[in-house]
Amino acid sequence: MKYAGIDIGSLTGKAVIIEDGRILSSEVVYVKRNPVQTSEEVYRQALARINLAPGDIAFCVGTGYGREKIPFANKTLSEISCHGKGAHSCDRAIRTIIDVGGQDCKVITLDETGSLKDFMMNEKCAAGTGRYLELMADLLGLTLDELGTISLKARTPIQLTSICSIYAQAEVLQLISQKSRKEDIAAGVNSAMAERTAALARKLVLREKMAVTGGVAKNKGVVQNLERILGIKFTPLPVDPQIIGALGAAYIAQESHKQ
Amino acid sequence: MAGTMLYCGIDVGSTMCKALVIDGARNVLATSMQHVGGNPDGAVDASLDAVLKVVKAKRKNLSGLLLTGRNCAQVSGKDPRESDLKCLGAGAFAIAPSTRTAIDTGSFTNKVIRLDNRGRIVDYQTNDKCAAGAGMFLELVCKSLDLSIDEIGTVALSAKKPVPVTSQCSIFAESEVIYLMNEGVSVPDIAAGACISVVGRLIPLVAKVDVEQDVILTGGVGKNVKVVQALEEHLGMKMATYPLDPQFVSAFGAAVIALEGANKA
Repeated sequence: MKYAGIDIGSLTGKAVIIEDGRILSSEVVYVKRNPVQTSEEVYRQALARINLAPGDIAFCVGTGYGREKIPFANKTLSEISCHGKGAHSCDRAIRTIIDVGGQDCKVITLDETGSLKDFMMNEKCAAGTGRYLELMADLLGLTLDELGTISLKARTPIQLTSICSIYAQAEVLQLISQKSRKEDIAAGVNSAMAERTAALARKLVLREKMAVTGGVAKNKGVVQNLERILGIKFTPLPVDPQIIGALGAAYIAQESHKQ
Repeated sequence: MAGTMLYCGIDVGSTMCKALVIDGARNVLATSMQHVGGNPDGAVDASLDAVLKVVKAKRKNLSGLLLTGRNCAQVSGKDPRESDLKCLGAGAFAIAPSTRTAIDTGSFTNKVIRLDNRGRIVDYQTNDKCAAGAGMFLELVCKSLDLSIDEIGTVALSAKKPVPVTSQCSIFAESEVIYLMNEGVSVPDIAAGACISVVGRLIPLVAKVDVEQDVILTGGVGKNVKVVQALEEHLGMKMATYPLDPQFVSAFGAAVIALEGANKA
């Protein structure tokens, strides 16, 4: 039996197809005009990769900000539950997950069984979310990936004074016009980003092992800064950190169907 | 203009740099507004050149020059500077000595000041930690609605049923508006909702000072008729209006302080 998990975020849509707990296919697409189109497109691509049709899927669980709009989901669940499930199924020793999405940031703690213990979320302010990094990368003329790699070459990281994304845009614009090195600005951006994320994480009791998920997990600059600020090491996950929510949804689909 | 005393105030804001020249009788002779765009020095030079050209004078002919605004600390050179609160107060009082409250909505910050009958600041409140509810909120809403910042207020007046923009964060407001448009909400209804939301964010700040009339709304948002209307409804008071563009009030105040300083010396 094959199961699907669909995670419709604010910036990307993710789909994972599993069979017997094994990942058969996964896909990440940028959001389309609306969540319906995004979910249909990412599902179609993930299925096409392994020559399957929607009829081959026994049960599908939707999650993420746009989950209520997924027309073909048999069930929907919050991204908090799905991220916890996804990370726990990758590594049973994970107790804390920091998930930085396109428009939010979540810190989730789990118990030994993988059940949710506690969580904190920021969805009110763009600072400390992927949107912040996107805005800064745009200003610097870099892709999100480049923003991470380039910052590792910084000589003297510039400390940004603004928290607000709008203020930070003006601050970075000024640094660019003063001919500051891009690498140094990028390092400052990643460090400021990590400071915001850490401020949210510190509101919970953090237990190791810890994992970082979501698109931002791919930015080495932010991840290294987070490890430094929190004084921890993240446990690398065996799958793309961006699909953890969809993977968790797929596992929940498998469990729901068996019951 | 040989023989005329000229005083210039330059308000280097977060996004716009405003320069204004007055004569010894406080008549406004010239104004100019330029984008700051990460280059405060360039914006100061451009706006100053523009006003000097209108009054046919050179920089050395100015009897006084004073810088103010959120970005004036970034300007190089040794020209004197004054705090934006003082310049706002001086400008608001110089426009009309009956002014007791000035509410200033810039692109990044909101400020409210209370003046006494001699124009002294007796109380003030500022929000300068985050751009929620500031002009940038409307700028980003306009971007999504494909409207200019100058027209959003008038477009909002034709709303049938305003739909509030609930995001606090101006960045998130931009995507919320796109979502509302996809849901089929009309442009005037979103525009009106956004203007009302700005007032909703201004009110808690305004409520912390003891608002007394006359009240003026200054800064770029002061030109937005829908914001003015919603604020008047909320406060149950009429805003006082004057011929001077509300975006130039602090620059006017800086010029007036430069003049008073020169007279004292």
